[in-house]
Amino acid sequence: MPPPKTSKSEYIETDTGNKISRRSQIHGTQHIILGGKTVIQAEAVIRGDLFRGASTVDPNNPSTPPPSTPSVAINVGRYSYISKSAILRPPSRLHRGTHSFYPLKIGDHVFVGEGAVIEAAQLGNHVHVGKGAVVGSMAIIKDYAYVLDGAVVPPGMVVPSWCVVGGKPARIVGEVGEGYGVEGADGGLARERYRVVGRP
Amino acid sequence: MSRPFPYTFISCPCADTPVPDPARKRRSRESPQKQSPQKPAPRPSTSEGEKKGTTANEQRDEDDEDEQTFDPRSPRSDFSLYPPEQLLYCEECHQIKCSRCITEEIVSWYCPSCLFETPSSMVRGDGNRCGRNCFNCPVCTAPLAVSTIENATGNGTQQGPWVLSCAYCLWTTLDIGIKFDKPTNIRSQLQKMTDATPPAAFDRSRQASRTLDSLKHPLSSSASVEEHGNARERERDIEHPAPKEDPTAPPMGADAQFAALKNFYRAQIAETSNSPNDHLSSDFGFSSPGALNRLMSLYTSSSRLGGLYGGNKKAKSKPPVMREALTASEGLQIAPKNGEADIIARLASPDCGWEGVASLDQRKAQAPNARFVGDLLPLPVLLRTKRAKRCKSCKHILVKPETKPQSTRFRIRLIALSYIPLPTLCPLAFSSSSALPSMAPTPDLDSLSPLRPIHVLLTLKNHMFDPVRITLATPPVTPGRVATKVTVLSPQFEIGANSDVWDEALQGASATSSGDSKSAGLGQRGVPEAGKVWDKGRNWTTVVLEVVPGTLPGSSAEGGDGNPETTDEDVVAVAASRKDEDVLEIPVFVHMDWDADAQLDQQNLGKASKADDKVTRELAYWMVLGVGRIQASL
Amino acid sequence: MATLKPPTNTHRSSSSGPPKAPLKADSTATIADNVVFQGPYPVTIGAGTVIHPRAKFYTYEGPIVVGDGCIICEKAVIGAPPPSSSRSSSPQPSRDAESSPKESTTRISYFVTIGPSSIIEPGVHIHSSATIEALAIIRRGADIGSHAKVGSTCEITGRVGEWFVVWGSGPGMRRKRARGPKPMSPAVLDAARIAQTAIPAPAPAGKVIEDARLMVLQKEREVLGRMLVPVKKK
Repeated sequence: MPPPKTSKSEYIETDTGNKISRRSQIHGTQHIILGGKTVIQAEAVIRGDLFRGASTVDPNNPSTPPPSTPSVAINVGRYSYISKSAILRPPSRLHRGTHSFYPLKIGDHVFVGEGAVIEAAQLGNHVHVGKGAVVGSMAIIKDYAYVLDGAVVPPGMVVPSWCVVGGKPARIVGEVGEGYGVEGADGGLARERYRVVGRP
Repeated sequence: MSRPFPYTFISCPCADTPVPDPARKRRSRESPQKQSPQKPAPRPSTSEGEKKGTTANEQRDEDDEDEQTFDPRSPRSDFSLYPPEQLLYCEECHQIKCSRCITEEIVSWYCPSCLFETPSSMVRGDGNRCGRNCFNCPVCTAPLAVSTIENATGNGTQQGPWVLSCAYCLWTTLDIGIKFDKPTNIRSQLQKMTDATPPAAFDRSRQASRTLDSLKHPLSSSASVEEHGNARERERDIEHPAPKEDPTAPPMGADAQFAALKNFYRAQIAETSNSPNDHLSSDFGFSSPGALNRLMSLYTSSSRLGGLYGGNKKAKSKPPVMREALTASEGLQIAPKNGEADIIARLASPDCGWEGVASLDQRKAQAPNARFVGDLLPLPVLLRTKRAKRCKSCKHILVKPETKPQSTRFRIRLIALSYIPLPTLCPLAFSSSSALPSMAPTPDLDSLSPLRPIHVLLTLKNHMFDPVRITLATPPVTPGRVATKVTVLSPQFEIGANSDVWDEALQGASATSSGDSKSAGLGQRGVPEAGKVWDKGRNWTTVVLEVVPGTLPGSSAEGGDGNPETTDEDVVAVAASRKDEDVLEIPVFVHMDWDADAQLDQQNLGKASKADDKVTRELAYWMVLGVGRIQASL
Repeated sequence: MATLKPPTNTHRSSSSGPPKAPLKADSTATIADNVVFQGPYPVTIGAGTVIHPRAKFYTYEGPIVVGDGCIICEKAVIGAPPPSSSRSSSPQPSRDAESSPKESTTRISYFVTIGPSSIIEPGVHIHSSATIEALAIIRRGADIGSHAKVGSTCEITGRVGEWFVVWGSGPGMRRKRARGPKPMSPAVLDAARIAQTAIPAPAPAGKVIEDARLMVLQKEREVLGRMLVPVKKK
C-alpha cells in the first residue's frame, strides 16, 4: 500500500482490487494480508503491528531483528468490508507463561459495521457484524453468523454457523434463513457493496 | 431484525389459502368440533352501519379475497411477510413455503460452544445440555472458560486447581467456593459435587417400597393417614436412628427430589392401576388417551370422592386411590420452620444487599430454591439442533442440512430464491421534479417529503434457467391512512434465463462491465418513461416505480388528499395508530409465468401440453417494498 | 468529536493548528506514534504505561494524569475535545467562555486498562486496577473504584464501587466480585451432607483470579512495549 500521493479520490485501489480509504488508519502493513476486493473505509484502525513472534523470539533480547518472513497479524479474505471507524486488533492471551498475539482471520464476504471493535480469533465467511458491536478477544464467529448491531460478544465465545446473536452479553437469539448468503440477497451483498464504493 | 430502507418482503401465500395439512384433517375427523380452525376465522358482519366505523381491511369480503389489495399494515400481514432469503419452495406443490408451512425434523444435536455433536441417545440423559466442559455464566450467560489458578504465575506447570471463569462479568466458581481438580469432565465433577442422592440409594428405595406395602390396603379409608403415621413411626424406630424427618435436615437436591418423586409416583401408579398393562405405568403414559380417561374418572366419579372424604362404604370394591408423598425419601420436602424469616434476615444483611439477590432471569435457569447470587451454579450449555424441513402438505423434504455441526452445506436446499425472482430496491438518484436530474442527490429514505414524486428502481433477478414473464400490479394508492400514489411505469416485462455457474464465472469480467454500463447509462437515459424497462441484463430486469408519498394525517402538509373532515374519532385513531404510519410500504402483486421443462411427473401423466415438452407454469404472490419513511411536514 | 479531524503527525509538530498539550511522560512509558495530545493543560504519563496508536488526550478542561502500568487502547478519548464551533480559533478563550474557569483534573490511577473507542470525560477518577472495556462511556465526574470493571458499551455516571463489575447495556447491571474466600455453594454443602461424603476442600479466595489478571496485564505491557512503534523523538 503506497502512501497517498494525490488526494483526488477517497479510495486507493490496489492491484488486487482492494479499495482502501486514504483516511484509514492502518498499522503494520507488512503483517496484513488482504485477499482482494476488500474495502477499508475511513478512520478504520487495523493493527497489523500486533503480530505473533516478537514476544516468543527472545524476551531477554528485545533488539532481535524480526524474522525474515513477517508473521501475519490480520488476514482478510475477498469482498470483505470494514466500515468507518471500525477497529480490528489481533487477540492476545497468555499461554504457558508467554503473552503473545494470535492472528485475526477474517473470511470472504464479511461485513464489519461502523465503529465495531473486533478482537476475535476468527470471523468466518459471510459473517455480518453490526454497527457498534464488540467481538471479544479470541471469539470465533463461524460462517454465515450474524452479529446484531450493538451486540457484545464476550471473549472466547463461539457463534455457530447460521446463528444470529445479539445483546450484552451476546446470546443466540435466532437463525438466519436458508437463503442467507445467496448472491444479491441478505448476506450476499458483498459484491454489490464493493462495486459502489468510491463511485462519485 | 428490523431492516434498513429500502427492503423487500415477500408474502407467503399460505396466509390466504391455508395449507391442506393431512395431519390436521385426520385429527379433525376424530373430533368433529376441531374443524373450525380449518376455516378462516369468521369476519365481523359488514352491515352498512358498521362499515363506516371499521377500517378498510376489516371490510374485506371472503368472496373477492383475490381482488383485495394486500395491506402491509394489516395485523395478519405480520405473520405472512418474510425476507426473501427465509422462504423455501416446494417443487411438488409449486408453491412458496414459509416457516409456517413446513414441519421440522431434528437431524443432529450439537453444542453451540464446542461444536461437538451429541448422539441422540445421550441427549435426554444429559438434559439437552452439553456433557463436556461447556458452561454458561449463571450471572450473565456469557460462556465460561476453564482456567487454572496457578498458570497465572507463569510457571506453566498447569497443575490446577481449576475454575470456571466468565471473561465478561468476571464471575468465577470461586464466587461460590468451588474449584475443580481436573480441567476435563467438569460437568461430571460438578454433578458429583452437587449430587444429593443419599449414599445407599438402593436400600432407601427398597425400604420405600416396603412402606408402600404397608400402606397399600387401607388407602381409600380415612384411617390411612393414621395408619401411615404409624407405619412411619414404626419405620423410623426400626431403620432410622437419624432424625430423617427433622426439618433442619438439609433438603434434598432438586434432582434427587425429582427422582424420588418420580419413583414414588411411578410406584403409586403401578400399585393403584386396575390392569397390569395400564398405560400410566409406562414412560409416556400420561399423554395417552387411556391415561387421560383414568385421570378424569378419578376426579369426576363422585362415589370415589365420597370414598376419599370419609364415606367408607364402597371402599373395598373400589380400586385403591393414589396418595401423595409423605416421607422425605418419597420426595416430600417440608418448608423449613423459619425459612422465610431466615431469607428476610439474609436479604437485609449488609453483605447481601441488592447485588447479592439473584434476579428473576438468573433464577429461571436454576434450581427452585436458588434465591441468592451465592446459590447460582454454572449452567451447562443448552444444545442446539440442525433440522430438516418438510413441506407440510406433501411431505417432501425442502431442506436437509449435513449432519456434521461444523458443516454449512446442505444435501437438499430448495430455497424460494432459486425459483422466484430476487427483488432489490434502490432509489433513483434524481426526482422528475428536479430541473437538474444528474445533480439531485439520492433522496433520504428516512425522511421522504410528502407529495414530492420520487422514483425507485425495482430490480428482479431470475435464478431459474428459463426466461420468465412478469406482470406487476400495485394499487394506485397504498392502503391505509397515508395515501401514497404508486405507478409501475412498465408493469409487464421479461427476465432472461439464468445461465450456468460456469458461464457466470467465465463472464465474471463482463458482469462488472455490465454494472458499469448501468451507471454510465444514467446520463443518456434521461427521465424514466412509461412502458419502458429501465435497464436489462442477462438474467435481471429493472423497472421504475413512480411514488408520490402521501401526507401524514394531522401533519401540516395535509391537503385535499387526506380525509377532509377531522372528527374526534379520527383524532383518537391518529393517536392510536400513529406508530409507524409514516413508513411507506408498497404492496406489489407479482404474477410470473414461464415455460418449464416438463418434469417427470408431467411425463407420467402422459399429456405434455406442448410439442417440445414444455409446460407453462405460473406463480403469483404479493410482495411488499419498504421504500422509506415519510416526513411529517413538507 | 466525529467532526474533529484528528491532526496528523506533521500537523502536530507544526506551530499552527490545535495546541499540543505539554507531555510529561516517564521514560519507561511506551507511547505509540499517532497518539493525539491536545489542549493547554499538561498530560502526565506514569512508568510502564502503554498507549496504543490513535488514542486521544484532550486537556482543554484540565490536566490529565495517567499512573503507572496502564494500557490505553486505540481511539480511546480521554478528556473532551474542544467544541467544534470554536475549532478554528484558539481553544483558550473558548474554554473560558464555554465552561467555568474551574479546571477538572482527569485521574487514571495504576494498572488501569482503557479499551478501544471508549470515552473518558474530563474530571473522571479511575482508581487502580480498574478496567474500562471497549466503547464504554465514563461521564463527567464519575468515580470508578479500584478493581472495578465497566463492560463494553456501558455508560457510567456517578460512582462505581471497588471490586464491582458493571455489565449489560446502558447504566448496566452491577455485581460485586469475589475478593475474599466465599462460602461454598449450598448445593454442594447439602449434597455432601446428604450423601455423607466429605465436604470438598475450600477454594482459594477470589483475589487470586484478580492477581492472575494483573499478572497477565503485566506481561501484555511488556510485550507491547517491545512491539509498538514509539513516537519519533525530535
